[in-house]
Amino acid sequence: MSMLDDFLRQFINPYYIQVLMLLGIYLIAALGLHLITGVTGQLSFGHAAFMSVGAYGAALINLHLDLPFLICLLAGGLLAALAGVFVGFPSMRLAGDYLGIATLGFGEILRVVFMNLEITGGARGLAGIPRETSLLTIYVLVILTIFALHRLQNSRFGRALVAIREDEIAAECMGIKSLWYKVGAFAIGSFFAGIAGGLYAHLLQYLNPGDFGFARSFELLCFVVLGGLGSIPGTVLGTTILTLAPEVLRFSSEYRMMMYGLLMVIMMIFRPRGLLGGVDLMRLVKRVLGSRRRGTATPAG
Amino acid sequence: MDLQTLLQQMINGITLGSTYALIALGYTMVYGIIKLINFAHGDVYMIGAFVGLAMVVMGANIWLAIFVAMIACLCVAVTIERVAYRPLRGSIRLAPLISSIGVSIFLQTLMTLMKGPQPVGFPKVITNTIYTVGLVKISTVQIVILVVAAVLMIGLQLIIKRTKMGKAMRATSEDLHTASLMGINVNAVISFTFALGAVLAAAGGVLVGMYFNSVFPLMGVMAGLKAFCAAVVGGIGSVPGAVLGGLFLGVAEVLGVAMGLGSYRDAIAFGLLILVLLFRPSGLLGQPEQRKV
Amino acid sequence: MSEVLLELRGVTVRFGGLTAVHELDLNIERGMIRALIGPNGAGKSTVFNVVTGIYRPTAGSIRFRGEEIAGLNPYHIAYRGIARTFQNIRLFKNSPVLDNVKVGRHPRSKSNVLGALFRPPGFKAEERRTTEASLKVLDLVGLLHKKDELAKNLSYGEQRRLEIARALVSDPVLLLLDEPVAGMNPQEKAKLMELIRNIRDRGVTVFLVEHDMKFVMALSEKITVLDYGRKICTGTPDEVQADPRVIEAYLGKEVG
Repeated sequence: MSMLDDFLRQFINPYYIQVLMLLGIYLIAALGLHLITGVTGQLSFGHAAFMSVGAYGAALINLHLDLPFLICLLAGGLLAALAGVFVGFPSMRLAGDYLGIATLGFGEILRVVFMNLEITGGARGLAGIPRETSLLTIYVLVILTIFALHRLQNSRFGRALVAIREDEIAAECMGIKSLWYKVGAFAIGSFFAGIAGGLYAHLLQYLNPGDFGFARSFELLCFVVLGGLGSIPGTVLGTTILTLAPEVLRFSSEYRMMMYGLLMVIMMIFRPRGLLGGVDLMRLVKRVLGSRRRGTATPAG
Repeated sequence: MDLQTLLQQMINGITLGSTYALIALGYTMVYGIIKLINFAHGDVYMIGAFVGLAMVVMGANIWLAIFVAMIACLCVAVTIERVAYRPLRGSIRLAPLISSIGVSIFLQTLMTLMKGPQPVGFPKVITNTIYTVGLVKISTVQIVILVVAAVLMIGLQLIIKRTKMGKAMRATSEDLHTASLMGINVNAVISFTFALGAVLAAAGGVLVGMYFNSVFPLMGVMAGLKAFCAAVVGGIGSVPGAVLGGLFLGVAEVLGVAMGLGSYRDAIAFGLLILVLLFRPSGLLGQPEQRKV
Repeated sequence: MSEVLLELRGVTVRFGGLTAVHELDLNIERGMIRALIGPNGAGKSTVFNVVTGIYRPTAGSIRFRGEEIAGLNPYHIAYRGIARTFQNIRLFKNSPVLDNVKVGRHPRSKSNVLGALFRPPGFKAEERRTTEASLKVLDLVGLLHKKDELAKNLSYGEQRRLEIARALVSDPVLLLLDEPVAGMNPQEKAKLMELIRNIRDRGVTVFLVEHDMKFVMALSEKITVLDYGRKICTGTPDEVQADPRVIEAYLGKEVG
């Protein structure tokens, strides 16, 4: 438990701190999916399953090997990435909706497997995980994730991913080995899901396979799409709105999920490309700075 | 497993599979025409079950209950298409998909608010006699399910092959844009497709409610996903494929459980789905797509 | 006779029962502007697609700089120095013009995921080279002032030139242009002809498929005519125009 958390707890309702922590965890997972679906254009309905690999991985390593928390977290992320490669290689041959369906299938199978394994506690779930996640850890990792993704996107690797999303055949004719790049994006996206899962495990201290069903995968996909496909600020905004909306809509707690569903339909009708579709982080910053500079220059001219 | 058990499980599997097939048909027809995985379809099936249940509680017989459920679901599905999907046509592919997930969440929570999350039992509507035919036993309920499913599927086949609307559906699924240029009212065809799918799913909902004696707001989730798997396994867009896929999955699931894989029950359909996708991505009866340049 | 850069021997491409290309023999000599013409459906684009690895030939051999490339994947072929444009423009539409060109530089750069994350000095130098090379070809095709526009917002003619820039930035040995002037107005065509000659003068061999006879006859040094997937003849523009078999294939309506 970090000092920051204790400090904040004096001023903010612990419930809201918990919500903020969950928001950070979803941000990391959603940013991973952003790389897969938003940047590379590969539909995934199984992202929560990779979260579960990281969650169970990190928790079990912590419980059985007693390694430092960050090592457990990293190991969980790497396990999820490995699972991503394992799932990715066969499925990435499939295009579009078929890929989505295959990832959905993998996710559900994984859930059922976790439900039946002895080591994961089966259907009873895995309890007794120490609470190691703090608000500070989460948000440091959120910033690191954004930083890493921003760097990835603005490189030869990232440009190849966008090219695959835009036109796979043309991309291959430019020398891009699309299968490798797609699996690469899938593995990296799964890695972040795994990190998010590890944080989740060490926040709630209890894991249940039901936490990572396709409903959660769909939720993550909605975060990415509603915020704006292919845009880091969009993903952050979408995740924030959709995570906080049910909390804000609490005045009608029974109806909030219903409103959530309606909200999704309405947002798609009015902003089908998402709130910030196609908005690039640096371009946005540059434009804001640029307009300010221009703004100060105009009076002279 | 001896022959008798095997045959018995086959009967049970075909019964379950024919309900999957009834739902799968809606997925496959809608996907065939507008390339949308309609995630709200499973919830239309759930609404069908609730409407059927309400009718039976009010004293209707099973046939009237199925009929009213069909009409209700038809209205619901056509409304969903009109409100949540049609405005998104021509938008990016993911938009209607997300919208359908939104509709699905909306319908599930609406029914949970109205009826509570707990399963509701289905009153006895038919005297369930168990007949012994040769080595196997078959119940009246199973016979009703098999007969209703068969009649509906034959009816669907006749509509698709023999009517003008069916011809328009086939043309639209071939190429929506060209069909509209040929003077086909594409909007009407799409509405009609949703209506047909909903009618079949409604019947499926009532039959399943009766078969398992349980109706609940989230019943459409797993059934819908499995039916969707069935549609893909059979070859999405293919009507006979959806039927074949449904039966295949139903039998596989029941046999899997009989062989002691009960705790992996929900994984069986998805495992088959992945096997089929990897080795025959276009499904058992689907046509392979050519890479166009 | 100069060196043969690309050599097709008995190349056949069949789709189900349809033979798109039938036992085609074709030589592309280094340093030439070479054209492939023929009526609609003659199999011209199929030849491009089989050379760039999008289709596998049903039979025959394709040798590039003496090495067999038939059946290789498109990305391997790109690395060997063949770049192309597409008949139905295939740009990365939602990316800026400059990024489109940078993607074309893929085979001439190396950085990977780790490089992107940790950005060692080599990474920055390579990025700079990629940007410089991209800006240079954008200047060459006259699109430098549009570098920050999204590709989809360019005019048709500009999109065709952007495709050429994207192909050119990889410093290809052989450049395949699939109907480069389709949809262009006369001024744009004249400018493009200038550009293609310029490209050839830089040492790039150009192989094009084109419908516009006036353009092809004025630009190419050697032309092969294809009809129903079979080669009718090969020769200089004058020889080809005089060949009765060619006139028959076109029924004289486009030639001359």
